[in-house]
Amino acid sequence: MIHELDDLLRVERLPHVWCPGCGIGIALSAFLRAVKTLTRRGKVDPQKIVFISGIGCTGRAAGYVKLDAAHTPHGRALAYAVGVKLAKPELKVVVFTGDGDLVGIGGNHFLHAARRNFDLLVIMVNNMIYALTGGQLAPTTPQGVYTTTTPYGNPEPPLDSVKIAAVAGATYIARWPITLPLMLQKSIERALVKKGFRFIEVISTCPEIFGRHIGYRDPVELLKYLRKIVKIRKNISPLEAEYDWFKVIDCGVFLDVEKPGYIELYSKFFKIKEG
Amino acid sequence: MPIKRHYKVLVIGERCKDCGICVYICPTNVFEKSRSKMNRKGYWIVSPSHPELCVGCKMCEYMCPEFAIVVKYSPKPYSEVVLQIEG
Amino acid sequence: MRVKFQPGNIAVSEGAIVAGLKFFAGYPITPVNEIFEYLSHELPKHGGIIYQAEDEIAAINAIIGASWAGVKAMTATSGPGFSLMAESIGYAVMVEAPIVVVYSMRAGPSTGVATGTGQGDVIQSKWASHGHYELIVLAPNSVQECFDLTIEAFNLAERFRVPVIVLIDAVLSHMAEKYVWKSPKEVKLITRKKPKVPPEQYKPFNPDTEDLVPPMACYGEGYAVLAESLSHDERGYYDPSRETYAKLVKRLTMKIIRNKHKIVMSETYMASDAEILFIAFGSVSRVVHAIVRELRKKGIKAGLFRPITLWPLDDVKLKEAAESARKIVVAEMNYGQLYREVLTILRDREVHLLPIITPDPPIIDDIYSAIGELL
Repeated sequence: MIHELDDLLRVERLPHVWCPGCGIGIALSAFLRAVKTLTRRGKVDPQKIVFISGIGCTGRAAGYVKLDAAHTPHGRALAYAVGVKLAKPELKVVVFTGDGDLVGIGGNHFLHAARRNFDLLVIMVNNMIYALTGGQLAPTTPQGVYTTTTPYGNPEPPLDSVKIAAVAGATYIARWPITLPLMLQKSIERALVKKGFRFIEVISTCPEIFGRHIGYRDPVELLKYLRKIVKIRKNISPLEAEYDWFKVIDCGVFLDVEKPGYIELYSKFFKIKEG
Repeated sequence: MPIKRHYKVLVIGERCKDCGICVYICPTNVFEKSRSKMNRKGYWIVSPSHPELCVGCKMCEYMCPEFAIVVKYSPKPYSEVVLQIEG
Repeated sequence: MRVKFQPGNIAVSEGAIVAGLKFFAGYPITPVNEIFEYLSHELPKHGGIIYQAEDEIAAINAIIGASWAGVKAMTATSGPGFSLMAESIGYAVMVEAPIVVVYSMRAGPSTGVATGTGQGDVIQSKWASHGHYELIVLAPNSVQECFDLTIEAFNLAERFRVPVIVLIDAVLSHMAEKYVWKSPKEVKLITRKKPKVPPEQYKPFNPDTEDLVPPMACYGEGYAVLAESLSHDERGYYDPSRETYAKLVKRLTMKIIRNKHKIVMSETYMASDAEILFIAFGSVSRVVHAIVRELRKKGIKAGLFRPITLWPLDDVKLKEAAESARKIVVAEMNYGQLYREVLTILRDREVHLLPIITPDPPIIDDIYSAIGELL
């Protein structure tokens, strides 16, 4: 074992399938470092973590982590996660999936899991495109941008998932770019041990597809662009945060409260064991 | 007088995809894109040419999407492109 | 052991509780709402968890997740809901999750007659999902069988790591009959095989025995298992190669086909010397049973073959039952779904279809007039 995360990875499958400079690897790295740190502090047991991802580039992550995992049908990662958590409340369930998977096809499940304040950590890697299938429009794609299904430019306004989570109900909402891996790691460390619905949106880079569509094909150029438009804001509500790829993307922790999670609410009316 | 620490910078060659992020992100220019070693996937492995300039910030380790860079304390500055991994 | 007088829906729920159901995710749909409502009351008393999902897709995925987390899980639905679950039935087959889906047929297609009954989903109950696969479909025809076959459904699901569909209809769901309720100690209950080796040696999709069923390590047991929907090798790792794909699809199919003799169930009534053999299942089989009796009184040698497992079909017993028959008549509430399967098995015989197209429970007159020409 050379890299400190090698015991949390299925190293026989590396190098992974993601493109050079893909932000998913950086997001996964931050997550695994958070798990490692919390394990060292005795706050978390990796054998009790269940890592669930959907379909898409980000969805491939389940195949690379050496944890209990699932690679679920498209959009259903949250639905599956809910079943896992309810069947064994002592497990720590993490949903690590992409923007199209979570708020596109999976939108209904996202809305209701947030509303119920389900005890799940949801990390959404947002590369603003459907990358695995070749670059089609996503609900988070910026307006005006070329995609393979909007070759004349995207007419649609994009979705800001942070706002949906805020309105539906969550206990932790944050947004971080992959250009700040340590902030992302610390955020995950904080969120992993909380109760209720915790949502972390990771603004990621997709140089090969999204980057190419907007003229930033080189991973480093795209990273530089992302660094330019990200602005860390303190003490603003999720509804005030801006999400505009061509102006500014506000990042930071927007919400961090304590509220009874679903398991706790359920236990009030039915007796079940909480872990 | 603060102690000057040294670091070893290891690149797991088979995982590198030559994306150039480490070259860009390193504040002291430890890395250089290189055409000396190619891995089995056909990528030119980045070269950790100047470990003596490393300050141990680990931004390369955190920003590498491939889990391919390891930075650790070392009695002397050291770097290596690791091509065979055991275990 | 106790005698109870309850509708089919409740008998199904009681059967599930006896079998060890610990997680139910549901969505309201006529005619299975009573299952969900009854279990909402009773399941927590038995240490189980019940949950109303936002749609059927959420419900089916939740029970697959619960199954992989280590508990016996079930959902209940009807035509429109099962159509929504189609993709995830395939997922359950692919990751070999033991789940039970109670499917109470109503009059389709589409919204149809929501409060009507039907048998139009014979083919869908097996083949709803994409790709080629095998699963098990049981068809009770009485409230007693609703109870017994639900327990059997859990046993088959756990034993073969496959989704099992309990296919009833609106009539069976709502009609009340006496049945014998047995406690968990009085019935045989099967739970999934667990691995006998430590995590380093364990491969989640490697069958260790001839029955082609891999032992199942669940979440939280330290085995780092992956429920992979892509084509995978024995470790669960994605592998699109020809050998791996062929091996996987073959094993998933042969798991049921090779063990068919341990799965199939059927029943006959006066078939040994029958000249005209009827084939029917579910509530229609009860009406046909009465017709066979009437015909026998008139001196016509009629008989009935009733499949209890619709998929896989008991072809051995079917051929046996049809030996003496000159005519074989498949009576079902559709334009020929079980009929097609029977036609394939008895391809050198005279097989007729008796379609009963009505949203109401079929009565003897419906069928009696139609069989006139066949006699």
